[in-house]
Amino acid sequence: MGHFKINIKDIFFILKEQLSYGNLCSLDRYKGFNEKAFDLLVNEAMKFAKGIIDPLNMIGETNAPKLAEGQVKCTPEFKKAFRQYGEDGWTALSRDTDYGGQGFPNMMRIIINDIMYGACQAFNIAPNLTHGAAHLIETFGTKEQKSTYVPKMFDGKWAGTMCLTESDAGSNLSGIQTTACPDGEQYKIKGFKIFISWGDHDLTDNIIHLVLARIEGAPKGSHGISLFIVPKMCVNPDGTLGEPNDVICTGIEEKMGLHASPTASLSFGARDNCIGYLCGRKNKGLSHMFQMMNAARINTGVSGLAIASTAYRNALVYAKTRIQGNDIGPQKKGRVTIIKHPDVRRMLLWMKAMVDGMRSMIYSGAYWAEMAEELPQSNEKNHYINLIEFMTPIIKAYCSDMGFKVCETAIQCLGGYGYCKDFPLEQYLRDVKIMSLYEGTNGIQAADLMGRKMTINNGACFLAFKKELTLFCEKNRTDEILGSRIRALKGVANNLFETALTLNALQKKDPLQFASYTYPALISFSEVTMVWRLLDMALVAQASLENTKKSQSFYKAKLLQASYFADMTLPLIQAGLETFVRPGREILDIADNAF
Amino acid sequence: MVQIIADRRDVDFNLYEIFNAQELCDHKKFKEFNQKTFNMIVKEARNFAIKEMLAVYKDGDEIGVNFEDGTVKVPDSFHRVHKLFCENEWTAPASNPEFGGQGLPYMVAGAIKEYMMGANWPLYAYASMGVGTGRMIETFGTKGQIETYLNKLYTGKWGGTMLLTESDAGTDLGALTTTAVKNFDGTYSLTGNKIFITNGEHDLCENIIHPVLARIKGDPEGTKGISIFIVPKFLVNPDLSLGERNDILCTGAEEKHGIHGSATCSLALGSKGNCVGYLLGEERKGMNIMFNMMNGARLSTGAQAMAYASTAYLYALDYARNRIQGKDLKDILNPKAPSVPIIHHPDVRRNLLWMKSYVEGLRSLIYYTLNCMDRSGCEIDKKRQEKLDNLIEILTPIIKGYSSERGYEVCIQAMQVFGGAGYIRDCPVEALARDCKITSIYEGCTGVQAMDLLGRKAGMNKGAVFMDFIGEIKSVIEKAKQDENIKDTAQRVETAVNRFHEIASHLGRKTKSLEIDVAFAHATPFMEIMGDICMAWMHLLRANTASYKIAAKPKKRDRDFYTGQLKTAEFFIHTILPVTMGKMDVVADTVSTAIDIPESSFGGL
Repeated sequence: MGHFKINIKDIFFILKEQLSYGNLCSLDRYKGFNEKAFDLLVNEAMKFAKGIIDPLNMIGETNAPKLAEGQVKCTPEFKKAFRQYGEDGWTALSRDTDYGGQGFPNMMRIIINDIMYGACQAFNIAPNLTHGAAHLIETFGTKEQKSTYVPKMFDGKWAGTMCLTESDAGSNLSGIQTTACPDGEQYKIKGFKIFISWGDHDLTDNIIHLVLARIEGAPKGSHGISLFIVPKMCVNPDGTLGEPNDVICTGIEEKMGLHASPTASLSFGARDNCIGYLCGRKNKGLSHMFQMMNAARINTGVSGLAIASTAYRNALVYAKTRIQGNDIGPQKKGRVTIIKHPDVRRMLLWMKAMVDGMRSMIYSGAYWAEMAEELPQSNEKNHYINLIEFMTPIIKAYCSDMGFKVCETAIQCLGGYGYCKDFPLEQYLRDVKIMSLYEGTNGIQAADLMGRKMTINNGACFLAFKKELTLFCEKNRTDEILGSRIRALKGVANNLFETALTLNALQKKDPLQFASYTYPALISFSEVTMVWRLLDMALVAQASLENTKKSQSFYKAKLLQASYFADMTLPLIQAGLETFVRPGREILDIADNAF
Repeated sequence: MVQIIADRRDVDFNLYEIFNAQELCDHKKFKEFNQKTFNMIVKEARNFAIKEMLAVYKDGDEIGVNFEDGTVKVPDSFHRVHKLFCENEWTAPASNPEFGGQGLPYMVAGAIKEYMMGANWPLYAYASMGVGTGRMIETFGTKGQIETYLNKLYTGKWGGTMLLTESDAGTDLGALTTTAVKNFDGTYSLTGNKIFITNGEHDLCENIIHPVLARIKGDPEGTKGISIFIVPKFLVNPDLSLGERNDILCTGAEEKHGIHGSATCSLALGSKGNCVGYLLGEERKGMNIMFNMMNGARLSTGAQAMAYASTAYLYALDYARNRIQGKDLKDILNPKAPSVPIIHHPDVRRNLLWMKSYVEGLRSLIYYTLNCMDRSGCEIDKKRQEKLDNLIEILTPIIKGYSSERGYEVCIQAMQVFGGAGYIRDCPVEALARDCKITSIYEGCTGVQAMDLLGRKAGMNKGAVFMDFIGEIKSVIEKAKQDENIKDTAQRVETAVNRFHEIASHLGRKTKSLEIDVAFAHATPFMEIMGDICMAWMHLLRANTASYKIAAKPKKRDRDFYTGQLKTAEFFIHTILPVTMGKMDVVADTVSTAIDIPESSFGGL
């Protein structure tokens, strides 16, 4: 049996009962589908993840890719899986049919990623980056670029990357120094990139790098950056591969985790012979890249969730089978499975609420993103555009931080065994750690949320979030069973909104003090969102409990986890709010040498 | 290498300014020392830690230990440093000089340990774990046992371990199945398998002395039937030379998340029917005796986590001072503004100050406890001594449980300061985080510490010990309230402590009711709260001390350090403690959801 553990019922509960994802078929783009087709896809993804991807997790961990003579070599199992992933249509399932997609909703990609990431995070980064790169070309490239690259990337023949970071341009991309020198229709690229996931490998014959660089003479800063297509191997007019394109892998990082995913340093144009093709408009590279970046941020949250989800289930299996210690209760039941111990139950219930809440948060976000993308021009569409803008940094930061925390807690359930490599949990913990660091550290996400997202369009993103949450509370505040928690949520949320506005108002007056408290504010928004989503699930489950005799304990769990999480979390959020807007300035005032 | 990982100023602040280690020298036990000699010794330890131990740390992490044919080889480079460590007599700084120890106060030994554990814990443990074993023999052993083992253990010539865990007896030691049969000569023959034995086998010492928990055939089930035995790897001849190889064999070493340099062994006892053990203390008193060692091990694990956290924090701080990235927020619109070190970015500063507040709070709590141990050792008044010993008892689960959890979180936050570079093996914090994770698991996992606190320690002597603990905090509050600089901050702590007292009584009552399981579902949150309260207490004490020093108009460097203490206390007490108040509201509600939820609701297998 594999390491990957998931309860498909939890996924379908959110999709079908909470979100009614079949309703997506009423959108124009999806009118050819029905809910059954979506269900089928999810079930197929489960099979693929368990059958093909799951074994890669261990294989990749013990046979990490190696760099030899400028070429990264991976194990053959990865190569086979990558090809099959593309051929079976997983890479491009949500893309339009023009270049080999299947036209499924984007939301399905998120769900598929949840499942595939859980089975092997390190592997799934490769097709996911390929998708992102191909989709960028599909969106911003010329017709010729599209037909040259996109179909081969979608079906797994070629792979793709995104090359942003340089050693002195990480969080601050405006410092990029890679240059592009016009050379007829094309450009000569020169520079060094680091931390490039799947930047080199032998899974495919070619790798299409999407590179940020500055055209000679372009303005300094972020407004002078353009996006280039830089294939590893030149492509002949007939589509066959030509000479190597002077892109050299100079090293791969030794990392804490994700050992199977090569993190490359790439040198472009060391022999002045690296050709790049402008993708999209000059000097608009960063904003083009952000299309991919936003998706990448959400997917980072998905990764946090996915690994947490399988970690929880692994801990659960252990807790239900490991016999240790006597029952503490007055009944004296003798030696018991550890799930009987209150402290273990506490950890399990917390993890369960966490996983279900994050999943609902992300799937809800994915559903709203469909509305934002596919509804015809309307106020409603704008509402969803704003809402998902607000949710993106929340999903990225919170699910990465908490995904890690869940893995840590799962290890704690296993005690000493959790620390050893015989169980998958210690690898999960190492793998998931990257999520709070890449695609913009969580500190960057907090600045984005409390600065940009609170402010743009006169606060429209914030207002969309506020509206959606307030609507929920208003509608359900008198619910017999959950009403008190919903009212409590509303009270805390209102205080948070007020605090957030006060904090945001500081941004101009006192930017340093403002920036001292953006991160705790992001966490409060995230926790409020969690309580909201969990209570929403609980309301749905409560209705189901009344309507059916089946799955009673399953639905009951949704109620209990929501009330538990609300009871544990709301008082803490409330207590923390005062601290973000207090006048104390010790973070700024403390002398540098007093640290 | 530039020495950046030893927080010398803060260690000295604790030793000589807050807890006044120099005053111990007035007592006859420590009369041959003075502040100068303490300083010299600690300085030597620091130099040794940085120059020798830190230099081979990476070998431990990257090469790790190698198990082959029943033997475990440590990295080659460990051998020389281990030898030096023993020759320089760092193995037993606070132990009895009569048997090879150095007789230093625990506080000073704590400073030595902190530097060494922060530099290279696996290497430190090989050389010093014999002290725990030795202390048990010193306390409970026969004269013959003391003469045979003690000097060798205290001087590091022989290694020590503790053999408790079996595959089905981890947290639940009462379930262990290793047996002992008494022989005609008074020795015992042991049979069984132990796992997760730190330093259970290695090639650094000529002999290893294993204290082993086992059940004498016919003794009752559960913890009451457990005895403890001394099982040497090589039997010792009457002239103290080494004799036959005992029948205790290493059958494997674990592949782990971290502490790769430390051998975590599986040991088979008596597989050839010939494992000789010597009873330590009385029959069926094994658990009590082991707990004597266990308490020390728990305090040491808390200190280990703090040392990792401190080291990780200082690495992150160094990076934040040197890594240039992004403009100062004040100049964000000025295109000509230069990029600045990331310590200028408020979010990075927040993270650093957060780390600082835990590292320093934990350090002070640990030194406070060590100070209690020293004072108890000098005390002639039995009542006062008992009070000190009980304070140590009640703080032990906090130091083990809370320090290991927060220490790890500090390591993780330190990675965050590095950004993507924090995930790379070159970044020293990456390994520290992996190493630190063990501290919340071994020597009784966090949940066990929380149960120990709520179930045993908080109610000790009908709550009198808890009252003494509260009294200790209150006396600091009273002093701080007289101090204009920190009056308001002290008030905050007072409110929190009063509330904590209520919560403790409330939860204590629940543990004696039918809702005992509901109470214990709040054991860990309770321990977390008490930990936060201890941090606030320590920060107040630190701020009070600093405020007093500032009044004496010190030089700029010192003034910045002391003012920094005021700021850190303010940060913790005004930003973190309010959330603790929220945590207390949650515990006051004592919801029963975690107990009510049916097992099937967690999901099927």
